[in-house]
Amino acid sequence: MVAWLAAHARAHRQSLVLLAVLLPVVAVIHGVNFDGWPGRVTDDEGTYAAQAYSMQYWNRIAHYTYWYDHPFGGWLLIAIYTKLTDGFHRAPTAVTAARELMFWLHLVSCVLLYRLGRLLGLRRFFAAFALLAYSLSPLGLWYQRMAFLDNIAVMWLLAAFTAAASPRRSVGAAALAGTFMAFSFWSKETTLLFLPGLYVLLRQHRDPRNWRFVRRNFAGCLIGICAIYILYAAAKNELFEGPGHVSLEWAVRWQLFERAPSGSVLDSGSDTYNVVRSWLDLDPYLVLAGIAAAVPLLALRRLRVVAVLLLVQFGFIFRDGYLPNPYVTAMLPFAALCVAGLLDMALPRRALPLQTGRPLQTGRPAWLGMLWAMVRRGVVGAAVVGAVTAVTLDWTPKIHTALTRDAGAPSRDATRWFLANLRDHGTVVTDDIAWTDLVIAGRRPLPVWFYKLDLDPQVQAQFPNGWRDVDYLMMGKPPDSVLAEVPLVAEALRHSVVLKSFGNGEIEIRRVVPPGCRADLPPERCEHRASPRRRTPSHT
Amino acid sequence: MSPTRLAAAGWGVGLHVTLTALGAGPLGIDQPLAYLIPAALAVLGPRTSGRAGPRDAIRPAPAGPERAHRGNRLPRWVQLACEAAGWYVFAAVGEPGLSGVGGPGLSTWLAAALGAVTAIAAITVLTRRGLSARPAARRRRRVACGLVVAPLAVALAVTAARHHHTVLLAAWTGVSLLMLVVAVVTLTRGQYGWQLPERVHHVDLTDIAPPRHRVSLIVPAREEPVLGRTLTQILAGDYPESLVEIVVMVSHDEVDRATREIAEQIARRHPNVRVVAPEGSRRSKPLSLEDARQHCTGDLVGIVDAESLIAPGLLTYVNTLASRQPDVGIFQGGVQLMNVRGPDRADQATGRDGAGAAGPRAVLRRLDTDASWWRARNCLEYYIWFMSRLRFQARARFIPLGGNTVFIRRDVLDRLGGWDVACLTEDCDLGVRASVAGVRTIVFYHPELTTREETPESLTKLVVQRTRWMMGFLQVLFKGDWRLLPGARQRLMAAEMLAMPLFQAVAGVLLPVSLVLTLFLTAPTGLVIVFWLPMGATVMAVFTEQAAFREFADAYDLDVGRWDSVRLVLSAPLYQLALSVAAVRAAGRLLRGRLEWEKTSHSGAHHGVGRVSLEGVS
Repeated sequence: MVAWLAAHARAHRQSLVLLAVLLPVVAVIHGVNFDGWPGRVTDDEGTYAAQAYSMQYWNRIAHYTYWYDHPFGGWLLIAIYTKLTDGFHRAPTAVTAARELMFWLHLVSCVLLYRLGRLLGLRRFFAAFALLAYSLSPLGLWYQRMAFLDNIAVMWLLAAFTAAASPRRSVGAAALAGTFMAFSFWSKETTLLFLPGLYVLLRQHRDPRNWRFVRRNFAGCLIGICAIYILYAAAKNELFEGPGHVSLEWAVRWQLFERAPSGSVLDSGSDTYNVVRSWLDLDPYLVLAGIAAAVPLLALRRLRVVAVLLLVQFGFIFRDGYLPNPYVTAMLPFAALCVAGLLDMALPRRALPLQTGRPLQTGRPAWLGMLWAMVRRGVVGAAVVGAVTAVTLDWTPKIHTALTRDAGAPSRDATRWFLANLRDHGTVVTDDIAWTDLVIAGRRPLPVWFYKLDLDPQVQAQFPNGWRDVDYLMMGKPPDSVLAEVPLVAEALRHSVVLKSFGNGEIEIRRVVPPGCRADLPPERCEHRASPRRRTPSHT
Repeated sequence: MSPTRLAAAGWGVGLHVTLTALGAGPLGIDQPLAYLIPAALAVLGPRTSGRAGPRDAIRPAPAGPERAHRGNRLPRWVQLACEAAGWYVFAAVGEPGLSGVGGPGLSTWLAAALGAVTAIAAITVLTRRGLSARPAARRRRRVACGLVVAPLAVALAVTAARHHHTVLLAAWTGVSLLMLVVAVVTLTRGQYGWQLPERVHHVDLTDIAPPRHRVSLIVPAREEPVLGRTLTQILAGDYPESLVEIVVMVSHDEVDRATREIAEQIARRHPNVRVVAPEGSRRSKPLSLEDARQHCTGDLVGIVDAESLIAPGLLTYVNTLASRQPDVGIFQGGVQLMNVRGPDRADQATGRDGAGAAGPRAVLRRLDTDASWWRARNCLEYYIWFMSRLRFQARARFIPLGGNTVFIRRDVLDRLGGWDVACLTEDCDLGVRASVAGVRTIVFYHPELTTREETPESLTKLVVQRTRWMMGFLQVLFKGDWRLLPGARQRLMAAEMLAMPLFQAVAGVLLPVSLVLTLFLTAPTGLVIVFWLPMGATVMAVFTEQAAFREFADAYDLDVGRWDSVRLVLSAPLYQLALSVAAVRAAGRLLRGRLEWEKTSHSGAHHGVGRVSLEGVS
């Protein structure tokens, strides 16, 4: 084993040195101020942290009824990490703990991307180029720092691709590729979109002598591990729709067909347009350059899969369906590979004309070949220099912001203020980011995630008097589209006064004042409390 | 009392106390149960670390340095009684109510220490005093041990009955995980031959070394009408006849007269064929081999079954291997069953009397003999075994050899002391002893070198054959030579492999039970998934077997279609059932002590299967 490792290290000496130089750079840029920027801009981060918390401490898949929104492998991984490192009690906030894991996953993804680039025939310089482009793009910095399931899924996806392109062409590598793909599915089901590409890559790298076994082991591991999800639903009798319980069938139908589309990207008023706009504001270069590079790369067999997958993802944006905000995460590694791959293709290999004698074979005069090679070198050199300059001008200020600005402060301060000043037993309705922190701090009765007040019948049953049973609200002001979905919360908001506001209203702590109550009285002494109090959940 | 003994006793006490404290504290096990874990480990765990000795070798009380590393050799019954006594002390001294939440209290530590000291002291005293080996004393000892253990057993049974649901769940989780591990291990080893592309074609037929080694082929035969064909086939091979010596072993008795005459007829024409017909009432294959060994003069001793067709180039290739790899002692060639489909209907109609008769008996016979759904699976089993599994075993340096097409250097064979005549699977036994002796083995498989055989005539015959193999494997397991293997990993592999037939068969019954149980047990969802995992691995195995089946068909240019593949999948559970039946028979026979020789008979169905022509067959 040691000898094997040593032999491998010797064979990949130069790559190891290169990575040893690059990874610290990447680690500094991703690691410094990872909690502060981006701020707490989406509730999803909090949701995954809360679900990981409930897994670790309550042995439940989610903190509310699990309804098959995503397979739970993603937050299982977060829970494993926080369990091993005591993350929820060590890190300042729950989301911070989840973000720590993202940092480590990003480093792994970087190594995998480099390795994949090498396996697809990129020279070391260009593989490293892909790594840097992937890692330093402000777009990547923004999304990869946040606790999104996409980051976990993309890491497994890169691992699957790396295994599929393994030069050993072993049955074991194929089984690993299938397993990693299944893990990717378990983290976020949408990555199944990449499955055809993965299979084609595996096929491209096949060896006829054991292809039959490779194919079957790949499929077997993939299907077997993915099927556990269905088995899970079946074991809980939640596979098909029925009265009184959630079901996988309904969730799949909702995700695929019934989810409200976010509009067309071409319609400047739609959500899709705004999401894409926000991506381009962060970094227009990497993804667009990748898409541009993907088109000529379709002609190159070894990078065709990567190019096609990027273009397919690009095409999906125009599908007019629901476009999730972190959708771009999975495009980034492919875009980086495409850009680096095109440059690698354009730059002639130094030893090639000598080894194969190609100028002689084609009948062209030698000087023409040399001239052509020089032109190609010049173009690549110019492109690299141009890219580095443009990107430096554009990216440096953004990276500077990422390293210095603490946009997470309002959320943190709000939680701290709440815990310090509101020590009564009033019911608080929060977003998911504060939810876990309040639970960890021991807030009782348990806070309520505002979505569930309206959408989960079980939670609603604990509020016999509707919004009047809510004492505090702690959240930013949700957009009107969200408020339309949650009438109880909207009503409570309307009857509330702001106690304290953080970050220019980014997050507000409000006191709900029903008729017959005053903001300066503690909730217990309000009149309407004569009616039965809210029942506390069973898992306190 | 020697310092080593004292140190060992101290170790024992320390382990008992530590594990008890660990169980009662952080692991949160009930206090009385916590002490049972180290006690059970002490009784069930391996008695020695490192190289142990075969059990038979110990009986006559070996003298000298061997005694040193054998450790505690009290019978497990006695040891169990001692540990039970320790538990009584523990339970009497310790007050379960006092063990606090924060960890095991002082009383627990004290009780565990007292209990452990009691147990270890009893064991040490008994070991020093020595136990009488007289049957009467042994019987009395058993009764005494039983009496000592009984209260503990009752207490355990009561506890288990009170928590029967948890006990059942825990037990079944353990069984499921074990089955999963075995299934995954079997799956990966079954694909060893294809794991890397360059591993697939491992035989280079173009590399031919000049003929140098003299090969003695032993052909044990009993009631073999096809013997003539087999011998002709061997003699028609391309290896120089002067370097081949054939020793045909036939019986002296009247039953075997026809076979003997065939052999003698050929021997008259070929001076290098010898017919040996030793006298004796009970003949068996290992006995024949052992008799034949005395008559062999070549550098390589090979075994060819009387009903098999050996490939023309086989001896040349073995000679090449033996010349190129002087450090290898044993060369195992591939054996392949060929009749995927079973005999044609037309052939059957002529050859059977009373085939037209109706009635339940005829239907049964028809089901038994005519059914051929299992034949493809049987063929495939051989293909995977020789192409992949045995090659893995050869690399892992533990190999149960096959009984056919195996070539052993004569000096190696003599050093190993030949075959064990009392063993039902003498081939497996020889492989185990060769592995212990560190003899390197090479396994080669190439369609042009394999020895072709036929599947057993009927399903019943298959079950009979498997029963014999399973009994043989278990015999080798109980014989205990494998305990002398140098590495712990090898020993584990040996134990797993020798017990495998039995386990595999039991798994055939357990798998469906596991699935059904999930319906009746109200198990947590996580455990339901665990219960299903072995089934998943088994389905995966059936799925990947398809790849091997296609490879097999391609290698021999067999005309198999989609229906054969489907049938292969569908036959998997039924075949498993047949193996389970064989396992039950094997276990029953071993218990009853019947180790008689059940011989598989052959009719020659493999001659002319496939489109590959077999030249030289009369």
